[in-house]
This record gives sequence, C-alpha cells and structure tokens, in this order.
Amino acid sequence: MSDPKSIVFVVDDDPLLRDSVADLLGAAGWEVQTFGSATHFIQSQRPDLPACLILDVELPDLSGLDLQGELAKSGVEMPIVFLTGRGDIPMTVRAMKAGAVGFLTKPFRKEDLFAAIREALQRDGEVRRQRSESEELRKRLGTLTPREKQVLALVVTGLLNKQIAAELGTTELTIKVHRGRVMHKMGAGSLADLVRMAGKLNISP
Amino acid sequence: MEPGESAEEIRRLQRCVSDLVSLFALPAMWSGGEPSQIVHTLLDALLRMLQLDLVYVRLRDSAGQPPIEMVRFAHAQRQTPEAHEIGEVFKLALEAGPPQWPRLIRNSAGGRDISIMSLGLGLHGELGEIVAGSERADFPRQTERLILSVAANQASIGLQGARLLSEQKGVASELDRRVAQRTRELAQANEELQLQAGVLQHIPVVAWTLAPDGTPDFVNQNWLDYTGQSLDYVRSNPEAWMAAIHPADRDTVSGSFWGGVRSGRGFTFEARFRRVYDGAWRWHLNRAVVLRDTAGEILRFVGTSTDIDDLKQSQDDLQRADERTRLIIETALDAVVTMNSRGVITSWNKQAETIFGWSAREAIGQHMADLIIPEQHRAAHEVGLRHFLATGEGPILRRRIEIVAVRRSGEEFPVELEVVPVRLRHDWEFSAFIRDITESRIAQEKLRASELHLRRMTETIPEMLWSATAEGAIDYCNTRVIDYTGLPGEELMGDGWVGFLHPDDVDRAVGLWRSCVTTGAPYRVEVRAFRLADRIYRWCVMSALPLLDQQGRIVKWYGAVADMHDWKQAQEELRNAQAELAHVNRVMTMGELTASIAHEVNQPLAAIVASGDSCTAWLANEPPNLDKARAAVRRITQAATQASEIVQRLRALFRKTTPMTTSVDVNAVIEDTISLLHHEAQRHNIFLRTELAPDAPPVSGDRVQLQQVILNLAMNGIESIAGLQNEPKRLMIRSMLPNPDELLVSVEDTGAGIDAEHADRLFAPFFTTKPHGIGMGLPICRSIVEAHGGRLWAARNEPRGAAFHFILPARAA
Repeated sequence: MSDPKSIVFVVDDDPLLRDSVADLLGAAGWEVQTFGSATHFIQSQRPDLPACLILDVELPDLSGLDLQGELAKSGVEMPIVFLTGRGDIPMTVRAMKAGAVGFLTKPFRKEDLFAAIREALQRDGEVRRQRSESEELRKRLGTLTPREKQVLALVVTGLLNKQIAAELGTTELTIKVHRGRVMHKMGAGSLADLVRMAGKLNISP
Repeated sequence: MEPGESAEEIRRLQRCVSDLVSLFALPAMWSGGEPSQIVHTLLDALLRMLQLDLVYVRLRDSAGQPPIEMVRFAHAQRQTPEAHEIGEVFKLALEAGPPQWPRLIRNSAGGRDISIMSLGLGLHGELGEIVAGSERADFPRQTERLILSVAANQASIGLQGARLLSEQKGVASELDRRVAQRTRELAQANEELQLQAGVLQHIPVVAWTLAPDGTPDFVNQNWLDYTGQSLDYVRSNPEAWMAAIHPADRDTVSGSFWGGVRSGRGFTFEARFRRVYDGAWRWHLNRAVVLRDTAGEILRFVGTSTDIDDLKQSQDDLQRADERTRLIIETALDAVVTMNSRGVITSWNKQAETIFGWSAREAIGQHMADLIIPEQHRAAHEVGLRHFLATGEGPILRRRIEIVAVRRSGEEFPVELEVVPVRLRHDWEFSAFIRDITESRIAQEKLRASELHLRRMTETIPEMLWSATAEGAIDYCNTRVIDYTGLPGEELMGDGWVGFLHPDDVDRAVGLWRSCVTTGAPYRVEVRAFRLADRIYRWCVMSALPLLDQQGRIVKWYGAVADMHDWKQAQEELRNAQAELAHVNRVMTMGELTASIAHEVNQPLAAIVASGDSCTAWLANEPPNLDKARAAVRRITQAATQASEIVQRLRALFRKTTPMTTSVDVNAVIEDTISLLHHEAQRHNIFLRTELAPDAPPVSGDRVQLQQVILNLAMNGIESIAGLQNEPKRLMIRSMLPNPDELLVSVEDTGAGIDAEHADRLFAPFFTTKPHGIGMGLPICRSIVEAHGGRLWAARNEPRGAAFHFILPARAA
C-alpha cells in the first residue's frame, strides 16, 4: 500500500500530536519526517522524492496557510493536507483554493488521513512524472531544425502536406521528408501522438 | 627522747590538763562552805592527783586562835602521826619562811627520805601553808609544781571567800543587835510621834509636812518611791521637790504653792508629777492644810498629793465625747430635735433652724406639737405620746416614717422622721431626726415620670427590646418580644429566651452570648426565631451592647431583636439573580470562545485517536511490535490527561454554581484564562502578554467569578483589537501590589479605546457598543468585584487603547 520512494512531512507545534501522527504513518509503512514549526520546515534539506506535507493550521510562528503561500512563492508544489482544531468554512475555502489536497478537522479518522496522503503522493508523483515528460519533449524539440519546428507547428494544426508546402512555398515532397524527420526526432508513433506532445509543449503555429 | 618516753610524756600532760580542770572546778563546790571543809576536799584531791605520800595544811586564824592543822597520808601506816606531830616536824622549817624551806625531810615514821614541796596560802602566805611530800626522788616534777601552785591559788581564793563570809555574818548580827536596841530606845522615847509619823508614812497617798516657811521637813516613802528623790535631797532646798513637776506646770505650781504658804491658808492645785518608774507625767491633786498651835501660830502645813490622772483622763474623754456629739448634731444634715416627756423641746440643732425657720432660742421650751406639727396631726401626736408613756408602746418609734411637717411660714412639707426614745433616770426623752425630703420627693416624682415615659416608649416602639443582668440573665423583654414569640414574659427571663430559637441555632447563640458576657464584646448573632403569628422560624438579628460603669465593669446589657427574614430573603434572591446573570454572561462569553475551546480539546483528542490507531497497527504486526504499541498507549494516556484538565478548567465556568469563598491565587486564575484565550488571540494575530507580581498574596473570593471578570475584560480587549489592520495588536494582563494588602489586576489593550461619550455609561446595564452584545458584561464584572470588597474602573491606556483595572483586598500571608 505504501511507496518506499516517497516521504511524508509532518509540521505541528504540539509534540504529542506530531509524534502520534508520525507513529501512525510509520506503522502504515510511510517514510515520515517531523518539524515543530514552519520555519524549521522551510530551512530543511528535503530529499528529491514524491512527498506531501501534513500541516497544522494553527502554528505559533507562521500559520499553516501562510506557509502554503510561502511554498507556492518559492515554486515548491508539494501537496498539502491541512489539520485543524477548528475548521471554519472561510479558512477551508482559502486552503483548498490554494491547492490543498485535504482539510481534516482534529480529531481525524486515519482512513481520511491515509486517503488524503495517498492522493497527495499520487498527485505529486503525477506532477513529477509530467514534469519529467515535458522536459524530455523539450529536449527532443531542441533537436529539430527551425524548418522542422515550422513543419511541426503546422502539422499539429491538422494541415495536409500539400497545404503546408503551399504555406511554406516548397514542394509537397520536401514537406513529407521534414514531417518524417519530425516524427522520428520527437519519437511520435502517430500524428495523434505528435499532436498530444505539441499540446504539452504549448506549441502553436 | 625514746618513743616510749614520749608516749608517757603525752599521757602525763593529758593527766595534768584534766587535773587542772578539776582544780578550777573546786571553788564552785566550796562556795559558802567552812574553811575546814575546803581544806578537806583540797587534800583529798591533791593526794589522788599527784599520788603523794603525804600532804599537810596549816591555816592561821585571823582572830588569834591556834592554827588549824590537817594531814593526809597515802597509805595507812601502823602508827599514823597526828597532824600536829607533822606540824612539829615542819614547824622550824615553816617558821623560817618560804626561801628557807627544805627540799628533803626524813620521814619519822618509815625512816625513809621524803621529797617535799611547800607553798604559802594567800597572796603573801598570810593564810597558812601547804606541804606536799613524796618518796619519789624526782618529786616535784614540773607538772606537779604547776598543779600544786594552782591548787594553792584555788584554795586561797576559796579560803578568802570563806573568811569574808564569816566576817560579814559577824557585822550583820552586830547591826541587828544595835538596831534592835535603838528601836527599843526610840519607841520608848517618843511613842506618840512614832505613831503620827507612822500614819503619814503609811497612808496610801503621797504625804508631806512643811515647815512654816514652806521647807519640806517630811515626805513619806510614797513620794520618794514615786519621784525617785531622796529625803536628803528634798530637804536640801525649799523648791528641790519641784524638780518632779512637769516643766509646763512649774510656774503656776510655784505661784500657788508660795501664795498658799505665805498667806498661811494652805493651797490646792493640780500639777503633773513625773513617775520615776515609767517616766510618765501624771496629774496630781495637791492639797495642804495648815496646823496651828493654841496661840494661832503656824506649826506646820500638812498635805497630800493624790494621783488623779486616770480620773482626769476619763473626764477629758467625756468632755471630748460631749463636744463631738454636739458637733455632729450641729452639723448633721438631719434636723435633730429632742423633746421631754411633756412634749417640750429641749434641744434644737442648726439644721432644725434651717428647716423649720425657728432659731434654737425660740424653739427650746416650746411645745413640739405647736411648733412643727400641722394642726390636723397635733391631736394624734398627743395621744401617741401619752400612749407611749403609759404602755411603753410606740408604733412609730425607732423607724423611718414619712410625715408632713410645718415650717414657721405655715408651709407644710414632707419629712422623713425617726424618733428614738431615751430613758433618763425616771423620765423619757425623745430624740427626733428629721429630714426635709421636699427635694428628693420632687426628684423621685421626676424619675418616676421619666421611667414611665421610657417604659411606655420601650413598650410602644415597634422593635423587640430586652435587657439582661451583668451575668447575662435576661431580666426584661418588652411586649413586642412577648407578642412575637407567644411566650409569656416570665418564661423568657433568665435563660428562657433560648426557647424561641430554632434548635439548630441555640448552641451558637448561647455560646456567643456567654463569651460576650465574659469579655464585654458587643453581641450580634443571626438566628431563626419562632414567630407565633405564622408559626414559623424567621431569620432575626439579635444584638446587645453592655452598659459599663466608670471602672469599665459591665452593669447591664441592653439588646434588641430585629426580624430580618424578608430582608434576608430578598438578599438571597438578589444574590441568586446575580449568580444567574453571571452564569449567563459566562456561558455567552464561552460561546464566543467556542472555536478556541474546541481547538484546545480537539488537539489531545486527535493525538488519542491517532495513537490508538497506530497502537492497533503495531499490535497487528507479525510479530506485534510491543515497544511501539506501549509508546502509543503512553501518548494516549498523556493526551487524555491533558484533555481532562482542559475540560476540568472549562466545566467550572459553564456550571451554574452558588459562589463559594475560598483562598484564590489570582496569578493562577490569570494563567488559566490566558490558556483559554491563547488561540483566540492567535486567530486575530494578537500579541498576548502577562506581567504577574511574583509574590502576589491570595485573595478571598470565588475563583470562577474572578476568572469570569478577567475573561470578560480580556475578551473585550481582544474584540477591540481584532479589527485593527496596521496598528500593533497587543493585549497585556498584569497583576501588582500597590501596597501589601491590595492586589491590582489590569487588562490593557491597544484597541480603539473608549469614546468619551460612552465613558460614563460603560458600566451601566444594557449599554453596549457591540452588534451582538447584551451590555451586561461590565456591570456583572463590577458587581462581582464589589462583592469581593474591591473596585473596578476603566482608564485610557498609553499610548493608545483602553485599560481596565480592578483592585481586591488581599490577605498578606
């Protein structure tokens, strides 16, 4: 049920609750790291693994919501599961808007916490996978010649080779060769594949 | 010297000393004895002491008689020589005188040599000689010499005494003889004179005769004994006898004496003579009469002096007593009047003059009845007087009675009168003591009127009043008490008052009453008293104060009973209403705090649930991880304890309890309140701080109510700060000791402060500036603080915001 290649961070100023949560997650097989305050967490060296943050809203130095903002500003996209002693609606809304995975009210059910963590980790895994996929595509895109990039941009808009040739003032055959190179360089199996990749790379004519 | 010799020497000395002691005792035995007897004992003693072989004494006789000789031998000899034979042996030697006395003589009887020692008796040997002899060659030894010389001395003393005694006896018998002879001659010569002298000599007064010129020629033995003067002295000078007269009397005596002598009429005067045996001056009456011969020539003055001191003393005493009585009567406050059996006034003192207006001169001799008895009583007076004289009965005698008397002016007035009859020989005299009681009668009337007035007041006043003796026994209850309790007055007296008390209150009320009666402290006790009207016990306050005399002793207690039932009930209801209101306020405040409180409680609950789950997981492991499971359970326990503490703290605030007075640590209350407000402050980004006096003494009060005050004030502060955007958001709670017996608590915020237009209505009920407030917070806080004996007020906080302060009386440890 757990992914050894992931880690859960717990930030709570109450040592009793912090230890309890860490222990609960540990028993469930997660790798856990705990922090007593937001500052400690920000300053920490974190391993480059799929991760999520279990965050107490009421922290003494920087509140959970403030920490969420800080992290977003510094480009950390770690999914956050909030814990709060007194969930009121405005606070929940604010947290969820800022991208919180879950907002659990103390005392919480372990199932809810686990589900939230799983979702968070999954989301982080997805984000990380997507992030690495688009980097690959960009690398491949970098190998294309300017003419090939032009061809790619026009192909994915659904134009026929003849139309592209007319657009670019060349022959249909030339376009066909460019297209074959583009498909090969980008590693696309089909036109549909290429269209999806272009979508991810935000390529537009 | 050899040791044996030395011991022998010591024994000899001891013997010598004891012998000397015996010798010194001899004169006592001899006292009054004959010379021969003295010599006998002396010889015996010496023979024994010195173990002599012989001792011889010869005594010369002063009267020219042959000498007395005596001898003793140690051993009976075949032919014991007579003393005079021994004397013959010594004669020649003795005649020669001491220096020539031989050291050795031959014993005529035994033919052996005898060492002798002879000594003279008397200072110069005038009494005789003593000779001691021993066959021992070393006689006399040194100690023996000593003993012999002492013995000789002692014998001399004894013999001298004996000789003197016999001489005295001789003189005495000669005198006796001569006196007897002279007496016979005198008796024969002037028997008549003897007789006269005898009379004067033996009469039991001092008697004397004077020559016509006044020289005493005879005073009897009584005079001599009395004054210690001798006859010769008295005769030495005509005025010599006057030495016995008291110096103060001497001049007058001299005048009377010589006047009487010169005029030839004799004299009579009194004078003090000194009695020699005790030195007392005693009065004597001295009288002299003149004796003349047939030719009318003065022969003698014959007189006597009689000791009249005792008589005079009693006369003086009598005179003084009389004077005293007179003074007492004159200065008496009462009129003292005496009357004889005929009803005639015989004495009338000063006070009588004052009271009746008649002078003593006018009154004495008048009829008592006419003078001071009102006309209508005169007849009765006469009848009473006659009745007494006839029967000895007088119903109004010897006791104080009040009657009416009349003054000179005719005014009748009340008097107090006591008549005492006095028997004078065969007649009666009556002493009347009369006191004008007009004034005291008026005073009495006034007193009675004021008493009546007071009594009427105590009986009419709509209060229950009572009084008690100094010992605490109830001696008066007004009718209000009787009406209230339904108990008859006599049942309330003494200790009876406890009868109307509720049985549960009796011990307390009586205990306190006893203690007050002992100490004199004011009495005040709340008790339930039985009211007859509705037959229920009602709350009353019994109180009393002691009346003290000038020495501070309790004379009496005066007390009241006040029915406080309705008041007390109203008070109770008011208290209940206040408590109710305070509770509502508390619950409302707590409502505002719900979010913070929920967090407080949910925190440990979350830890419990999480740890419970992990524990389950650890136990489900194969094999179970018991260490981890145990750690989880420990956390559960810890968190559960935390939660229950929070709930405990909150419960008191939610509960509706009657206020309870205990010793409260205000700093702890502030800290408890802070823990409730902690999250609330955080939620609004408010910086919450405390500064607590480190040695704050406890205050007496209700913990919940005091916490409510602090909570209310702090919540007000938080509310006023919460809306701020760019200003500092701070709330400060302080405790301090402005002085040792007061504790000041301040709640200061940096909020909007208090509008000047609201300042005076701040504590008014139902005044609020909050959209949802009911305006009871501050009035409740103020009533709570005031119920604790303190004050609550608002002030401006510097540099901005509001400050609320309250001060409570503290009990210094």
